[in-house]
Amino acid sequence: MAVDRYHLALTELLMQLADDDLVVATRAGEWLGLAPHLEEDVAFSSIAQDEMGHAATYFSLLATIHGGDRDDLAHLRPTMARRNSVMLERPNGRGTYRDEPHFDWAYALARHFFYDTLEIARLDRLVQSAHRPLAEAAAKIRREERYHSQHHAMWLRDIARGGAEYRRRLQIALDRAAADAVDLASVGPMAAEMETFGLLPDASHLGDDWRARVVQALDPLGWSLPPLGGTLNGRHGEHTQDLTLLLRDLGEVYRSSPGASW
Amino acid sequence: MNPNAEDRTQQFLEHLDDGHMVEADDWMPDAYRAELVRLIRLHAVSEIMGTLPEKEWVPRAPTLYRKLALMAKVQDEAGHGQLLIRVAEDLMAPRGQNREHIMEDLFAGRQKFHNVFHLPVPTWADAGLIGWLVDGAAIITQGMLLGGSYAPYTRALRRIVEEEAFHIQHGESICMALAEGTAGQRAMFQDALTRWWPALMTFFGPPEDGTARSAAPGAAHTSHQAANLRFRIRTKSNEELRQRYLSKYVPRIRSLGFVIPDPTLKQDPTTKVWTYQPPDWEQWRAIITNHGPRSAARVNLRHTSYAEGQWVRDVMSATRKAV
Amino acid sequence: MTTDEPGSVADQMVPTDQGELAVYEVFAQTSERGTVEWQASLLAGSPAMALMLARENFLRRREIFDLWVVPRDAVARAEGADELFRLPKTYREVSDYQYLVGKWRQYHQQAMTRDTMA
Repeated sequence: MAVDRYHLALTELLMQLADDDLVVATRAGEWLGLAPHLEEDVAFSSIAQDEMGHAATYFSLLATIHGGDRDDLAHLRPTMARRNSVMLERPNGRGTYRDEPHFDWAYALARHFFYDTLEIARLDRLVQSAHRPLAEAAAKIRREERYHSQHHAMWLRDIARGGAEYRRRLQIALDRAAADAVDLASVGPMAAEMETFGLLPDASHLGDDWRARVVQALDPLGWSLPPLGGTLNGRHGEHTQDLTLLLRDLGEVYRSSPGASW
Repeated sequence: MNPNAEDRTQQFLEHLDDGHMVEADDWMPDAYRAELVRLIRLHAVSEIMGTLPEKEWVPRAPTLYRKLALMAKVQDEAGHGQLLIRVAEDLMAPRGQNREHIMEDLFAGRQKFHNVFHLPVPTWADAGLIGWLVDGAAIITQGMLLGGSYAPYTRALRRIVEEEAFHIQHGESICMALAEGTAGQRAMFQDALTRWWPALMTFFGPPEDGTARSAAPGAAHTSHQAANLRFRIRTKSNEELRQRYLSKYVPRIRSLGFVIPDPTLKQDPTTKVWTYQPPDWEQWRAIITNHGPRSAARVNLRHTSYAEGQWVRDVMSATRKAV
Repeated sequence: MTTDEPGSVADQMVPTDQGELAVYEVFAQTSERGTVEWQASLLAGSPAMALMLARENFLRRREIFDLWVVPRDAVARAEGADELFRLPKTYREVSDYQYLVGKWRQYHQQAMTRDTMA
């Protein structure tokens, strides 16, 4: 029985990690060719690629635990089987990457800042995970995340210095991202098992840790962390129509010819 | 032109004929600068606009591996746009112009970009075909331009050509998987090839023998070609490049069992010269003057996102002033 | 945010002022088609002096096509290797696609055989 709970908790954890990165990487990838500054387009695209690479690592780990193929797990699972935070599935703004892309760079930064801060808090725990392959992957991924946090820190600092109008714009974006972020630092219904089994050490303080790190970064720049909102919990498989549309895109070709080699 | 300038131009041409290079700060004839600006702007904007057809397939790429590789490929294209637009900006600086002017010209329909980026990309095979056969054409042009006389451009091109080696193999890899795949996958590639062939045949521009000189824009194109050859900005003609392309790619396409939609296409066994059905140069002209099927939509994508990003660029200028 | 601004650590590393003199980093282009590359550093009292000294100190056996000197304190530096770390990304390396060489050879052979038969 304990073995089954262990297996279930590990599967849940890997799904959260994999789905978070897959969805955030997809949204970040939609900015390709559309970022506000040419040099930034290239730099931000590296962040999208890093996150997609991390997703691939987590899906490979998941495939060995759960069985099956990593691409099946990434492309075929329905909306309600997904475990990513709802904040990550929201569109980049009005329009789509194929039509009228009224994307909001402030929102992209706010979302990535919240998410990457969570990732680092989570990875700081995962490097101690009882599941050794996960601990080893986490150690590598954590090193690469450093660039992401520096990237967002640089932008936040420059926007803060830019003037009142820009500071206001970013606060609005922080508010919007936070409005969906109630599930971000939660780890779902198996939190206790994840902690007991040592899969995600100190899981119960992840939320407080995240909040402290966010406030520590925002406070000196004159921003506050808005109250977290949201009626859906992605860790329970509750999602918006936005995710369903994103998944339809994501698996469009893969599903078109089951079993085919691409 | 006063006699002094004429002498200087003569010296400049001799310098080029001796195989020497030109740097951004060197004196250069106005015509040389103008040809460079025209060519490098076209190249830069083609790379930037070239990200848009392929990026449509990034989320939809079939596997995580293909998603990663296509992201990397489109990122490289944006990076090539960046390298080239910097070269163009340094050339335009004496006229007080920079990339903002290039973008404004693009949005106003005054800046052209390559014909292939005006076309729709309805299937995954289009993404593969662009990597293999469009980038394959681009590398032939760029390899030729490496021998050019303007050093900052050749430096950028060296980096670009190095990365293009990955692009072509990435494209080949996608197309090879389709060729070796199901009947549906093979049909998908054949359909893409049939649609893209005319655009590939016009990729290098009209031949210089006058057969395409029925309208003024073609004639203008030919005179730019002559000037660029004289200035050693380019070293081969459009038709030479097309012949080289056909020699390289036709056998490969056919070896995979695909049919090129030109029954007249054949290579003379002794002269090795390819003959082919003359492409529709009128249609090519319409496409490169922003009357292609996706011209307006692509420019609009770029324009919309550019306008939305204005405040971010304003933050960057504010930061610079504060430092 | 866990890090300082880029460049701020450079100030804590090696002093850029050496008494009355400053450290200059020297860059040169040594072939007509080449790029400007770092050569060495020196002490000088002014940029003009740094240019004078650089050519004979570091490039006396080389042809020089371009020469730059940059005061070290004008250089913004990354913090180090840890900040610059990234994971391997073989999907964007040609090495990942080497299998194509064999495939093309195989298809080329098949096409030749077909032509011979025909």
